[in-house]
Amino acid sequence: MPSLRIAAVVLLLAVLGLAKQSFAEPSTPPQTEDSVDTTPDANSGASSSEYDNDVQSVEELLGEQYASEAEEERIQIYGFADFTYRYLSFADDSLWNLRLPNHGTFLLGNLNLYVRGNISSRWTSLAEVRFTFLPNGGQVEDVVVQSPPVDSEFRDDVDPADTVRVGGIIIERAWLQYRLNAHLKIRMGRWLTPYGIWNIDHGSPTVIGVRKPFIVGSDFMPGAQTGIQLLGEYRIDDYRLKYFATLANGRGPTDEYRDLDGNKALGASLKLATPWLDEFTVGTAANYGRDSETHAETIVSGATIQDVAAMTVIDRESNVLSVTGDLRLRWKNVLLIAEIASQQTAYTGRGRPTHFVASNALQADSIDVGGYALLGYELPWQHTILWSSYELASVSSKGVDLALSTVGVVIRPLPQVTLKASAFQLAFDQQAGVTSFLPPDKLSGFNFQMAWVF
Amino acid sequence: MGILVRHMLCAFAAFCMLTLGHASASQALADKRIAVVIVVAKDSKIDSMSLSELRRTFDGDNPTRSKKPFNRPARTQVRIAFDKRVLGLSPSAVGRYWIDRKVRGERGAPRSLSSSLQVAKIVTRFPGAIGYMRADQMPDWVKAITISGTSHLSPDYPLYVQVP
Repeated sequence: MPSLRIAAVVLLLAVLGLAKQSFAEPSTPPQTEDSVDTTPDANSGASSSEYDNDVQSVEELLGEQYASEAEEERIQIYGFADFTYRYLSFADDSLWNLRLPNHGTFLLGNLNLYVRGNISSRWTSLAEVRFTFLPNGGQVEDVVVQSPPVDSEFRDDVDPADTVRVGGIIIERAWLQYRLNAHLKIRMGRWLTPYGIWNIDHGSPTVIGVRKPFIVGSDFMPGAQTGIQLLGEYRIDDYRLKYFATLANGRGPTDEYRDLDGNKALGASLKLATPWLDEFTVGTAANYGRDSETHAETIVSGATIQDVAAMTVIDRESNVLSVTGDLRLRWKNVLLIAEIASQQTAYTGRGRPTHFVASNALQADSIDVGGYALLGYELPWQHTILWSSYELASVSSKGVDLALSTVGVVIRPLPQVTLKASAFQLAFDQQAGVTSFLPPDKLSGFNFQMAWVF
Repeated sequence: MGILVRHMLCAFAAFCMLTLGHASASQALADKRIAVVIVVAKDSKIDSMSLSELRRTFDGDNPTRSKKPFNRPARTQVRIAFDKRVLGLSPSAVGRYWIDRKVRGERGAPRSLSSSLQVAKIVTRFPGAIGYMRADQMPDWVKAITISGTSHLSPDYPLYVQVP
């Protein structure tokens, strides 16, 4: 019997061993070199038919017309998304209750899809759209009065017993680019304004924090514009200067597709990358344009159609100058990112609106300034960065000062997956002598986010 | 007691042999360097490029008609060595680099060719194509350019892989 038991155990072990071999993932040691090359033929050349077949397969790989010189596929479709748990805490009587939930919530924030077209060696296109649940539940931005949330729930005709909530699509950018030469390209369409760090990094898997810095989210500089952009770069050794010039509609409620005034916004941007430290990049940008909000009215002076005239009424009109500066440096495990921005608003004589709170006064010209600094330390594990940031802003157009402190950690176990956690405290102060829409108030909270590229 | 001592001596001897063997193997590993050559067509006018020029050709920002880069598959030794020396990126950083570029809306990585033979055929067939491969796998019908005037036959050549 003992020998039978031993035999049974040996058999079992053998079966387990075979099973382990069968189900174990194939071991993938680093590839030493491509196997094709190790054959003698690789060095001695190939026959004509082999050559033709190989070249043909590569041509198929690259697109039939190799003149496209597309290193990448002709069309690339990819995107990113993020999922967040956000907890906010503020006083029960705080005006934040008008806008935000005073408890934890899950949030599917971004679902962005890119379609890149490598049309030819000189022509390239990029479109990025964001799918959103808005307008369902959205509220018209109003600083004092809570507007009722939009209800976009409808009965589904496909299944009358069911209802669906209709969402929306935001066109983040859509442009066509032509390369004039090695140092100059022209880009036409809607594009992200080439300024700063955050606005260029753009996607939640790439940026470090969970939410945009105040100066970026509040559009001290327009985040995206519709128009024409000249861009290029010049390199000398390891120094690289990128330059941009922009011509766009300017600001307004419909600047994506309609300019409400005749003035176009002009912008310029420079970014210098140097070989100093492990990374050292500085940049600056400026943009000057008109921010207009108008509507058309009809004037009826008689009973016939000839007595009807249309006129444009200017609700708000100002000239806005935005200036930004940014710095990014990395030295060993330390990372520093900083951006500053200012926005100077000067209303025209015909376009000065009433004060946003005091209806018996007019809105004054204003200068808003702000900035943030983010200091990070990279741990030698899964590209983990511990970071802390501090933001300050003086928003005279809204009559408030704000300070925001944040600490967080970002982990990137895979290039495509980013995990983030952060806690923050935001403090508002009313500016002296200015009627503000918010009383001195504090808001704190934390975020957990998973962002991924697909 | 004597048996115990003998066992301990045997174990110590085995340990020494293993350690020395490992050390000598490591030495052999360290000694075998093979240059990674930058290859172009035989009739190409390009004879030399600096590391900076290689970086700007392969970092995805500025592909031109005159220089079309072709990569090697990720995780191959030759690609790892190239990324580290030319782009300054470790294997763990290189994935993030190309992913982040795509999220920013910039170009992705140059097309990868799976074999040295394929690289050789492509650079021969298409004007301006530039690739790289191990020197011992380079056919004689392509041209290896120098890096800032340094030939891959020179001990000062900056780009190489270590192979067992």
